[in-house]
Amino acid sequence: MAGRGRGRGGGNSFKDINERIGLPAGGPAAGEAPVESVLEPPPLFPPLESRPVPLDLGVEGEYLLALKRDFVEYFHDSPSYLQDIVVKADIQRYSDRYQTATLASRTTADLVCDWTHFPKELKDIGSKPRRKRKLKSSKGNAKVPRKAEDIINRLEELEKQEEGSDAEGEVETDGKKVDNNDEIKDADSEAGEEVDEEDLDEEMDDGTDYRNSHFDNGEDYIDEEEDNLDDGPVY
Amino acid sequence: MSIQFGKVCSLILREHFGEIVGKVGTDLYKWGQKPLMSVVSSTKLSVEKVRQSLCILVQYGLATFSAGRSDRIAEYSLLPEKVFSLLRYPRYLYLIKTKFGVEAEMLMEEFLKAGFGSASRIIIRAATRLKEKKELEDASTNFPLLRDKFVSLVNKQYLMRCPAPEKTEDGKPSLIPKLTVAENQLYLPPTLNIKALTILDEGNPADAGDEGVYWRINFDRFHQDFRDQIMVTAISRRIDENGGEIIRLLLQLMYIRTEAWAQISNPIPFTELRDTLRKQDPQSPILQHLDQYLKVIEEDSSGFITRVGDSGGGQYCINMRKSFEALAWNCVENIIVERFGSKAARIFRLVKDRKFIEQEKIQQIAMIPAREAKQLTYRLLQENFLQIQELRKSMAQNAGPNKSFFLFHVDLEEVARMVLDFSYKALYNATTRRELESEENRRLIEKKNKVDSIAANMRLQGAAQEQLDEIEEMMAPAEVELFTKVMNRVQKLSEAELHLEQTIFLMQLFLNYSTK
Repeated sequence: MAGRGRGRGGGNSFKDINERIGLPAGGPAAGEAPVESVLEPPPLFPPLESRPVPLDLGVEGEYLLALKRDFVEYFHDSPSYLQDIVVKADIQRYSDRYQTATLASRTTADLVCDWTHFPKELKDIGSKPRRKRKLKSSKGNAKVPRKAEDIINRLEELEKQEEGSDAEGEVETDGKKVDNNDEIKDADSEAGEEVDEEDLDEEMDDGTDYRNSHFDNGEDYIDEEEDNLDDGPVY
Repeated sequence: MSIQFGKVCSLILREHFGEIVGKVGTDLYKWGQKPLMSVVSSTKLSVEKVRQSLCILVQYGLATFSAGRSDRIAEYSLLPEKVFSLLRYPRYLYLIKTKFGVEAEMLMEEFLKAGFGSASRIIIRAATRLKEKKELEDASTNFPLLRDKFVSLVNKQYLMRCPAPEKTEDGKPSLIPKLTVAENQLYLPPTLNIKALTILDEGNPADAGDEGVYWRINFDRFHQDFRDQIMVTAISRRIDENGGEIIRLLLQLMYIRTEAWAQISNPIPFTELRDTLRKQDPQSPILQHLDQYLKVIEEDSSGFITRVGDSGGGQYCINMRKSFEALAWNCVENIIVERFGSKAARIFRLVKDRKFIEQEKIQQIAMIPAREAKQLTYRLLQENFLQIQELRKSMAQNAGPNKSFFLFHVDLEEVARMVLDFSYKALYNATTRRELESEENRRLIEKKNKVDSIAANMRLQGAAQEQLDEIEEMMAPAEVELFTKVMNRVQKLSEAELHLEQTIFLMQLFLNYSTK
């Protein structure tokens, strides 16, 4: 609402209007201070001229507020509250494991009770695009993360080995490791039917989600700015 | 649809469903209808996340979809009014609680939390909640009661049937379901098998008799009730409680013969009103003075009811449009009183009364010193509460200043739209500020919550007072002080939001009626 009504000066018609509605035509009258042209936007927090009336709430209002808080809390804890799984890259925290686990366990699938009411494209969560990625990975791109998994497997094996006999275990792990690799190749070549299930928690399979792209090129930021620019400066 | 409204909507979405849904919602608001992939490209979120967000929006009825130009691609659009309704959820619940009791409130709460759902599922959930609340042994004891409440909610049209997907010719589910519902089924209560509910509650599969039938909330019905409430309280304040009671009865009778959102109700005969009143309470003190009351309400400047005929002791109409116009005028006047003082309000009323008026006339009639009157008038003009109309004596282009008049007038619709806009802005600001307050002090709030929960646990275990005091002391006095300060601020801002929502509701109603 600010910003309007500052367009005075200039054209002849304004003088006419001023004269007609009671302002002297030749500038302000002798007693009044001349109007200075304003060159800066009005202050962001203009002083209040009058104190606002105190709000009266009553019992009803308090009940409503409590209800509102409950709702917001409920939605925050429900699967309908979508969040990015943010990875703090500095150190790996012990608590992260639980946090991401609880986040991952909440999916929209729990929320929706009947998929026939939704367009089909919404239902196929995690199948189509994932499959593409899988195919790509079968071409050898995903070798690096797989290695990470191998290490975990290997550590487990080593643990077992420590408990059991040593010499035998050595051979066994080696054999197992080869097996593992074979399995992976098998899975890659099939890469079809059972992918869905496995993929849902693929992100966590490797213990981390470093593979996910968290790169932000800052384009969003500029987008937002653009909108404001269109409307002119905002005071 | 203003920019402010869009901002408020995305803020509401963000508060309830998180950053990502907020982003998707904002994008949909900006563009209207949009297919999935183009939302993905403009928000730069992953397909997965956008899918999930759209699922959530559709589930809660905040967005709809329809087949686009090609039949294979669905286009989604946001329903901003529904998004705004999220703020009104507490009010809906409160209304149901006062009208139908706690059990119905529980059902309604489950519906609000689930978006839409089948009767059996919602009833079971509500029963479980009730069980926890009342600490009953068995949830199933509540089933008959809950079912009856459910049916009465459907009968009163607070709940309505969800449109179901049409069957395709080959029997397979189509890519984009076309949702339809027959008119006569919309408020047809379900027949539920209580026994099956008990079995379902125990976790076994059973057929409760409502396979594939879903229900959702009819928000429109609630808004009708809010509207009636506003009218009743307005009359009770202006005249007295009895007057309010009469309006309430008139509204009841109106629903029998008139479509709910009609601008003017069909005529209601005096005798019928009297009979209903008598039936309700034969000793009612209003009965003796009924015609006087009607006369007073009718002659009141707000024009809630008008007398349209003399047959049957008089016929009365409720004039919705006029009543809300009067209410909107009052609301704007109050805003002016609070912002610019009562003298400015006097000028505003004067302009309203005279329709078009010259500056000099204002000074004379308002009995305000010339200079002050001028200043106030221009102030109102600058803030857009008044409009100016130029009137030329001659049609010549360069007619001198003496040849034209400048008349002040009020364009209420424009003013209402402006009030609505700055109410949205205020709402946005209040919410942002509240979020900032709690974000800045999140540590403190979390600590307080933790301490409280520990204390509560200890109390349950029967700890000694000393121990409890010790736990209390984990919060330093300075921290406690800061906490109460922050909480006070948050509380005040939330209160302001509640009140703003009511102003917004009134203005929206007025604009709805006047643009129909």
